[in-house]
Amino acid sequence: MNAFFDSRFLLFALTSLALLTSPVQAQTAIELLPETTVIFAEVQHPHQLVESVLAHPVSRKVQDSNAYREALKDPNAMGFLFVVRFIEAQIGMPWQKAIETLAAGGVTIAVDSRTEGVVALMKSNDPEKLASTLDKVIQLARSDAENKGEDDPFEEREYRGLKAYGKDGGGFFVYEDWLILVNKADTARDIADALLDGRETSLADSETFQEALQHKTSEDISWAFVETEPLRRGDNDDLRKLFSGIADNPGGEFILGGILEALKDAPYLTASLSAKNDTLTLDLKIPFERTSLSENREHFFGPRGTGHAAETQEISGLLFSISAYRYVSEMWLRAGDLFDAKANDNLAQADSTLTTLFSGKDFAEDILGALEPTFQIVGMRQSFSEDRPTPAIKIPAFALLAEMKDPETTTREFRRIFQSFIGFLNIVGAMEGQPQYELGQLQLDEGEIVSATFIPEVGEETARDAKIHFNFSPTLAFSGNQLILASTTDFARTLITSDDSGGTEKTGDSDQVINTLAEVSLPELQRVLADNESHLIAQNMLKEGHSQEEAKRQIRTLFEILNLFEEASLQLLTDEHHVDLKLDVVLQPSE
Amino acid sequence: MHDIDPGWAWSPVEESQQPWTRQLAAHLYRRAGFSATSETLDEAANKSAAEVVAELVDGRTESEEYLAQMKQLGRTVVATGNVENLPAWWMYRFLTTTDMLREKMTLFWHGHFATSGDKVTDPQLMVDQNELLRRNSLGNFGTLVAEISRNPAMLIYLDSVTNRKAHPNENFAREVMELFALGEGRYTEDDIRELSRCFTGWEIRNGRYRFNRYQHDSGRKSILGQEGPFDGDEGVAIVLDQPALPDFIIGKLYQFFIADEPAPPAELLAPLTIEFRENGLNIAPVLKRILSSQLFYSPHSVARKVRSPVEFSVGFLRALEGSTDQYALTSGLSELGQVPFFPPNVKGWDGGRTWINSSTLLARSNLIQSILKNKNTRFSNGTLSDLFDKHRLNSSQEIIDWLETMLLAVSLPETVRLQLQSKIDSGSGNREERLKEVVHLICGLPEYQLS
Repeated sequence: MNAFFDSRFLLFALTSLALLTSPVQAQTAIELLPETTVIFAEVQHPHQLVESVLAHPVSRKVQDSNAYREALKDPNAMGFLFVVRFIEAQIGMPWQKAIETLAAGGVTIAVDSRTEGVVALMKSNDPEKLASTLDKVIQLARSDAENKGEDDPFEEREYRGLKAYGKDGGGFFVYEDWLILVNKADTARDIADALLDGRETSLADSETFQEALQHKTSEDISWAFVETEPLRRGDNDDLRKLFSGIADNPGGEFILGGILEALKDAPYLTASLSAKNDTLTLDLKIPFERTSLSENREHFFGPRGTGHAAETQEISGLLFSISAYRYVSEMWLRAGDLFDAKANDNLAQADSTLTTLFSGKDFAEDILGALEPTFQIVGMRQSFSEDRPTPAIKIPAFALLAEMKDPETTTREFRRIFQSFIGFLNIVGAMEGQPQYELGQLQLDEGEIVSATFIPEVGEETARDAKIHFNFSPTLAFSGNQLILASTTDFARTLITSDDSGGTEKTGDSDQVINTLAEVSLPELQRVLADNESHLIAQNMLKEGHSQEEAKRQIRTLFEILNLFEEASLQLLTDEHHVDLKLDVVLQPSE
Repeated sequence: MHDIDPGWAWSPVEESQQPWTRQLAAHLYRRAGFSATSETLDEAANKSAAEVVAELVDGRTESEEYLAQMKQLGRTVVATGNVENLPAWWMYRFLTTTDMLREKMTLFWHGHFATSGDKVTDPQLMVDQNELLRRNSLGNFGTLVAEISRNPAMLIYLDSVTNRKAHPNENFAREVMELFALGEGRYTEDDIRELSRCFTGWEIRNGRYRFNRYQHDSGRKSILGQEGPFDGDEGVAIVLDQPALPDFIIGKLYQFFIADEPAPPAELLAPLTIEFRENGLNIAPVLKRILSSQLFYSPHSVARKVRSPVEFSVGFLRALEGSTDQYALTSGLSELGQVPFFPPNVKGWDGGRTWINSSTLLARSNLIQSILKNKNTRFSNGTLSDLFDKHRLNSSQEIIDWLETMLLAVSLPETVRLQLQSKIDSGSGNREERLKEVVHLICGLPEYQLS
C-alpha cells in the first residue's frame, strides 16, 4: 500500500468504473469529494481575501511598524523573501497575481473517513499556468535539496495517465485546472478516479452536509463543516471524550459544560470566518434543541435553556469583563451526576474544608445558594500612588460581582466570614513571615466597603519594587443586592460608585440569549503589559535565551501587534435550535 | 602522585617545555570557566598562558551595562517570589558572563558554603548570598567567612535564626569548623560548644542580621587552645588562624581545578598552602599560581576531572556559541544531580566520580538531546549548519576536528572519528539533523564527560 498508485488498484478502479451508472463530472470541490467526507473547510475566493487584507489600513500600519521593519532584517525573513522573489521571477508574476490565477476557484481542505486521508484542493483559472508553476516549484525544491546534499524530495509515479509527485504515501498532482495534495495513496486514487470518471454520489449528496450548508452566508471568507458521528464512533480517545458530554472536573464543567452538552448529540458543527468593517468574526455553530435540555445542565443554561448573562458593568478603562449565567450551587449539588468518583471525592473534601472555613455554613447551600445564578468577573489596570509600596510585578485588579438573593440576611454573614477569613490569613502569613493585613470599614452613600490592606514593613512604605502581595488589598463591598469581592479596595470603590445605568444588555438576534459574554480591551492589555515591560523582557531572556536587546525587540513587537486591535469578545449564545460560540476581534478603527 | 616534585609542579608553565596551543587554552577555559568560543581560543592562542591567566584572575571584564542587566534580571526573578526560578537566572549568567573565573569561583563557594532554596524560600535572601559569594569569590577568605557568618540565608539554612545564651546553637559553629574552615578531626566537641557560645545573640529578624546583646554569652571561652571572652568575630578569627585551614582550603581548590583524585600528598600542596597563608588568605594569588602551573597543563590534570552537570551543559552551549531556554535547561539539570541554589545538603556536592552512574549518564545524553531539540536553542543565533558555515567548516573531517577541540579534553579514537564523519556524510535525515545527531553522539562519549 506504500506505492502511490499500484496496479492492483488500477484493476479495481477499472472494474469499479464499469459498474458505475451515471457519474457526474465534478465542477466544484463539494462534487469532487466523497460523501464520506467528515471535515470540509474552504476559502472560496482566496485572492479577494489577500486583496482585502493588503488593502486594509491595518495592513499599512503593520508595514509601517518598527516591528515589521525589524522582522524583515531577520535572516530567516530575508531568506524567505528571497525565495518568494525568486519564485516570482521564475513564474513571471507576483505572488498576489499567482494566488489570483492559481486559486481562482478556491482552496478546500477535507478529511475522508473511509480512506482516513487528508486532501487539499486548489482550482485555477489557467491550467497551463498551474502546470508550469508547479514544474518550476518542483525544479527549485529539487535543486535546493541537491545543494544541501539531500535526497530527491519527490518520487514520480503515474496513475491512469496522471503524473504524481510524492513521498511516503503523500504527494500531489495536477489535473486540468485542479491541483490536488494528499497525505495518503488511497485518498489520492479516490480523488483521481473522481476527476477522471466523475462520482455517483459525492459530498453534495449528503443530507447532513446540505443542512449544514444553510448556515453558510455570502459574507463568509471561510467556512467549515465537521460531521460528528464518525468522530464520535472513531478510535480517537480525545474525540470520543469530547463528544461524550462529560467534563472531567468542576472547572471544565463550569467553563465548557454547555458546549459539551450540545456536542453530545449534535450531528455536525459548522464554523465560519467573516469580516465586516473592522471586525473579524469566527462563529462556531452547534445544533442543539433547547427544549430537550437535560436537567443536569440546567445549572449552565438555566431552566429550559433560557438562562442569560447579567448586564455588563459599563466602566471606562476596564481591562476585561466576563458575564455569565452559571448556577454554581446547583452544579455543586449535582456533582454526583456530573463527575467521576475521583472528582467527587475531591469536591467532597473541598466542601468539608470550605464549610469549616465559612464557620460551619454549608458551602453549596448556604454560601453559593445565597447568590443569584448570574455573575460577573471584571478586571482593571492598577495605578499605584507614590505614598504606597509599588510592587515589582503589577497585576491588574479584579473583582467578582454577584447578586444576593436575600441581602438583609446574607450581608451580615458575608461580612463576618470575610473578616474571619482575613484573620485566618494573618495567622498563616505571620507563621511564614509575610506582611499582615489591617482591616478597615467604610460606609458610602452607595454602600459599604470592608477592606483589608497590607501593612508595609518599616522603611518599605514607598518601596518601588515591593513584594507581589502589594497588588492586593482584598475587599468586600455591598451595594443594595450587589455583592462585590475585589482584589483591591480602590477597584471595589470604583465599582460601587460607578454609574452603571448606561450599561446595555447585549442580546443576539430574535430568540437568541447570551449565556456567556467575555470581553477584553486590547489597548488596556497593552498598558498592563507595558507596566511590566522589564519583567517580560527578563522572562523572555530566560525562556528564549535571548540577549536583552533581542528580548526588548520581541516584547515591543508584541506591544505593536496589540496596538493594531481594539477589542476581542467571546459570546456563547443559544437559540431554540443552536448553541453558537462567537469570537469577535475588532481592529483599531480605520483612519 | 608522590613522585611529583612540588617545585616543578607549581612553577609557571614554560613555552619551551609545553608549547601554548588552542588545546591548552581550551583546557584552561574549561577549568577556570565554562569553556570558550572558537574566537576566544584564537585570541588566547596569540597571547602567553600567563597573560590569559592574569586576565582571568585580575580582569573585571563585565561591563557596567551587563552588570545592570544582571541586577535587573535578578530583581525580576526575585519579584516572582519563587525561589525555584533562581537557577535559570544563574544559568543565564554562566552562559553570558565574560568574567568566567569569578563565576566559576562563585559556584565553588556556593558548594563550599552550601545553602539551599529548599529551606531558604525567600529568593531575595538567596540572591543576596549569591552576590556576597561573587563579591568575595577572588578576594580574601577571612572576609568571606566573616560575611557568610552573618548571612541571613546561611543562618536560616543552618537553623541558627536564634541563638540564645541559655541554649547555644551548635549547628553553625560545627559547620564553621568542619565544612567551612578546618575539615573533620581538626577540632574537638568542646571547641564546637565553646565556639557556639561566641555566636549567641546572633539572630535573623525579617531577613536581616541582628545582634541581640541580651542573648550574648560574654563569659570566657576556650577555643582551639585560646582563652578569652570572645565574641563571634573573634571566634571566627581564631578558627581562621589555625594551621589546618590553608591545607583544607587548598586541598579543595586542588580538587576543583587540578584533579578529582587521587588525593594529593601534603608535600605537593605545601608551596600553595604557604603562599595562601603568606598572602593573608587572599584567594586570587593562589589561583593564579595554580592556573599557570606546570602541573595544571600536565597529564596529571588534563582530562582528570569529571565534568559537573553545570560544566557539562554550560560548557556545551558556550563552546558552540549556544543559547537556550534556561528553565528547560535547569529542569534537565535536576536529573543530573546539580541544580544551582539547591545543593543536596550542608556538605554541598560531592563531585568527582559521584557525578557519573548509569542513571546520570543516560540523563546527560537526554539533556543534550533535549537542548538540541528545544525550539529556543540557537547556535551563534542560528542552526548548527549556520555555526559551522560561520567557521568555514565544509567537510565532515573539518567539522569533527573543530568539535574535538571545542568540546573534548582528549582526542577521539580514530574509529569513532571515522564513524562520526560517515554520520555527517551519509547518515539519515537532512544535514541539520545529521549534525545534531553527531553533536549528540559526541556529548554522549566517555571523552566528553571528562574536563
